[in-house]
Amino acid sequence: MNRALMRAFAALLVVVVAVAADAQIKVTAQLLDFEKGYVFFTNGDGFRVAPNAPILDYKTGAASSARPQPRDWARATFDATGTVTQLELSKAPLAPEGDLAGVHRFAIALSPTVVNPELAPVPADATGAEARRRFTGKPTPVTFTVRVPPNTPLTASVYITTDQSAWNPQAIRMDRIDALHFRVMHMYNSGTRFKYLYTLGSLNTQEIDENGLERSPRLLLVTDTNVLAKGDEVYAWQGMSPNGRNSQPDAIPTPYNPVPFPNLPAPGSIPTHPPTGS
Amino acid sequence: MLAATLIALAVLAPAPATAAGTPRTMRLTADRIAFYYDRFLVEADGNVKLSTGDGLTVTGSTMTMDLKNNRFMIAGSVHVDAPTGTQDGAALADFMDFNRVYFVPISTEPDRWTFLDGDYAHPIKGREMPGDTFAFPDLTGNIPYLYARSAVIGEKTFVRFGGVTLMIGTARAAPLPAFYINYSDNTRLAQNSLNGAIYDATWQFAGNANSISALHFRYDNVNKAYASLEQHFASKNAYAVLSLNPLTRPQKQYNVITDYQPTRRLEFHSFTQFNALQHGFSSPDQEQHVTNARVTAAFPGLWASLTYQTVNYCLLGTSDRRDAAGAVTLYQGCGRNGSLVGAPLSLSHPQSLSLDFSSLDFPKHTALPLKLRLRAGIGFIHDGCNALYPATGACAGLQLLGGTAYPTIYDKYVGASAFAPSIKIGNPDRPYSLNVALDAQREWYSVPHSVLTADGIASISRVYSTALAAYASYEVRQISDRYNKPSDAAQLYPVDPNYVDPNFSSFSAFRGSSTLRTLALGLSFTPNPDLALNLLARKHTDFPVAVPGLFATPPLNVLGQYVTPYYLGQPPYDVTADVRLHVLKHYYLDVARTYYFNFGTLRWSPSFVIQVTQ
Repeated sequence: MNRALMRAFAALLVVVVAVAADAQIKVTAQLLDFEKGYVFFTNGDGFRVAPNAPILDYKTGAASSARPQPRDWARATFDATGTVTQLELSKAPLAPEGDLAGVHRFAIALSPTVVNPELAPVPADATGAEARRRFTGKPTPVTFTVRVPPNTPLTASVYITTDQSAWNPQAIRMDRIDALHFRVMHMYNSGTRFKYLYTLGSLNTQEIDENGLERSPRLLLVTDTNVLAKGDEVYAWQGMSPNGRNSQPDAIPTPYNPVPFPNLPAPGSIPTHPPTGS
Repeated sequence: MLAATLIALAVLAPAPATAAGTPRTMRLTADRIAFYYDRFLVEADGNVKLSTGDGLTVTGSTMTMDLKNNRFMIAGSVHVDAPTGTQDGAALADFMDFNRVYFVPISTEPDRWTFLDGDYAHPIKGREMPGDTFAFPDLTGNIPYLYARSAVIGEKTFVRFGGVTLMIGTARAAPLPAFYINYSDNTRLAQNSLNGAIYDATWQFAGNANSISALHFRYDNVNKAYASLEQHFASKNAYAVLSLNPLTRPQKQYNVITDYQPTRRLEFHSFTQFNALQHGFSSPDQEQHVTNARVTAAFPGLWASLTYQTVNYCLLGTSDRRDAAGAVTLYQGCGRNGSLVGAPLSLSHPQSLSLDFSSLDFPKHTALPLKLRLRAGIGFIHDGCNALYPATGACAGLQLLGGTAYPTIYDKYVGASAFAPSIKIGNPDRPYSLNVALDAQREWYSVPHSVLTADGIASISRVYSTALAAYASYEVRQISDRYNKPSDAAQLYPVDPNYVDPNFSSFSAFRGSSTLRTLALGLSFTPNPDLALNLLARKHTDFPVAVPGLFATPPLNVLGQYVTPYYLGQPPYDVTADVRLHVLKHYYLDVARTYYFNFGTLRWSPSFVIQVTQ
């Protein structure tokens, strides 16, 4: 009889332990803060931490002497009541584990949740609300193709300068694809928004507007598409006057010379026989 | 004097006033601040303290700020000191573009508060927050551009770090007292007045929302290693750039560029340069000056530009002979104490004025596959002493022709450009593109001659993939300098006995009209964003035919490139290869060189064209 009772008690104990083990929930997350008996994840949720909850090293499983810090990664173990009973710390990012949204119900907050109308979805094609549009942030190939003015030398290099590069005039070099067009493809995460201009390598030779004045930077918003093609047109380059007379900051003072062939040989300087190999 | 002014301006550059409605200026201190230039992220750790400029002071363990997205977040034992009181919490995030501050306070228990539009007295409690409000950026694989101990952050415009350690790759490169970075979307503060260089390391040591003071450490083929000083000022519609370049070489250029756009239809632009041969900051041995001022106005359908340029080749004393009226009769020298320095130069302050008109492209909004642009202009150039009488050496004006001196030459021109938008040919999925452009201009001078320039280019191209594109183009450029009098033409384009040498038969027929024909094959290969290869092969069939040693080679710029793309005597064949490599996290290396197939003694271009860019 006693042996039968003992067996039944042991079986019950196993079941209880098993149920208790199942009640444990483990999730990985990045830490925002750890203080005053609470641990906060970067989704903003704060959870109560058991007073004697062990702090372990994620890799070794040994007790950690380090105090949990913001930016640390951790695997948190919750009991059935939503209290964190164990934290395993890592300086390196941890692979997602568990359902972080699932433990939101354990988050401590004095105030009841209030709906934020500003977070209501905005249709992707809505106008006037670009800043509130939602983007997935996925890498998107963006191809820039620009038509340059015909007086752009065949040996010229064309660049894109952007506010993302602090207006470095040679930030993105383009490749010539025909007599009048240059092209380059770059990857940007969707949602990226920046301003840009085309240059010949310096801001003294940046593109100017069709009306001859300095032009405002162009704007690009990378949307959630598989591929984005941007076609632009440069009307003229700064420093190239309509009739071809140019004045550049790096020019040594030189009077305008009306003779169109500046490198003709001076009479008397012509060799009587050309060098060999011509 | 100008250098002293530059330095004074650099030191005294005014800080912008902070007022309601204007961008905030924030002050940040921490044990360590890292700046990730490629992502415009400021990451601070340890004893972080931020004064936001609108009354908030926040302390915490760590902070992340995305300068471009204009938001920051401080986390870890946060203490907020606001005009309305103090509060501890776990984290605070400020989305400045939206005037929303999100806070996780800890009183008896955690909570979530949202402050709207700077109203810190009335938090909205429990309000849902954006999902990424308190997210840290993933910095895996990113290397900081610099570390610092403090930072002043001008909202959406600049960040100025203090106690800086600059990084090159993962190595600590140089400790600096300060480092300024502008990230404004206003291009005016980024304008510069320096030449190109093979390498330019810029130390922006001071600055604010309206000014930058910078030292440049540069290398080029002419000056080798040298330093330059540059000062920028900018506002919403104007800028000024002052520079001293090179600062550490005797041949110095003092540059000033100004630009002012009072309306969307009017722009004033000027460029002034003092070019001095000056050892250190001693009295110059030689000094010249040029100023170019331009006013551009936009009208419906066209724009006009009035450009004035004046040159003074000799700001210092001379020892020229003068007649009783004081006019220069014989040029002798220009420089300190009248000593001759360099080649003879005009002393008569050459000036030019031109009024140019250009139409906008037309017709617009039609199906016609052709666009036109017209241009015209008038102007004059005056120079009392560009040419000299051969016998006496006395000044003969701008040009001496047929025994007549022309101190002033008036000119007028008309021109037109036409181009066709790309015409697709063949398989619609992978078509060939045909591009055609034509340009012609005729310019008449008060010296009895006119210059006709005509240029036509056509290309056929194909894009094979995102990595590979190729094209073939053919360009014909004709320049014809026509003199009304045969005797004038004979003076400019004389028949020299040497010209009729059979070896120069082509040049012996040259009477001022040239035709340059260029067949080009281009290939662009970009297998990935870190590597780009470009090949350009050209065949020149010119008249007059290029003969080695006959025509002077055009000058090279400091990068080793010819300053003019068209010139007589181009070698008949050339191939240019250009490679662009991503060599370090923040650096690209461009290397190019041209092969001339043994034209005379010319095999390769004089040097590699090398540029290191960030």
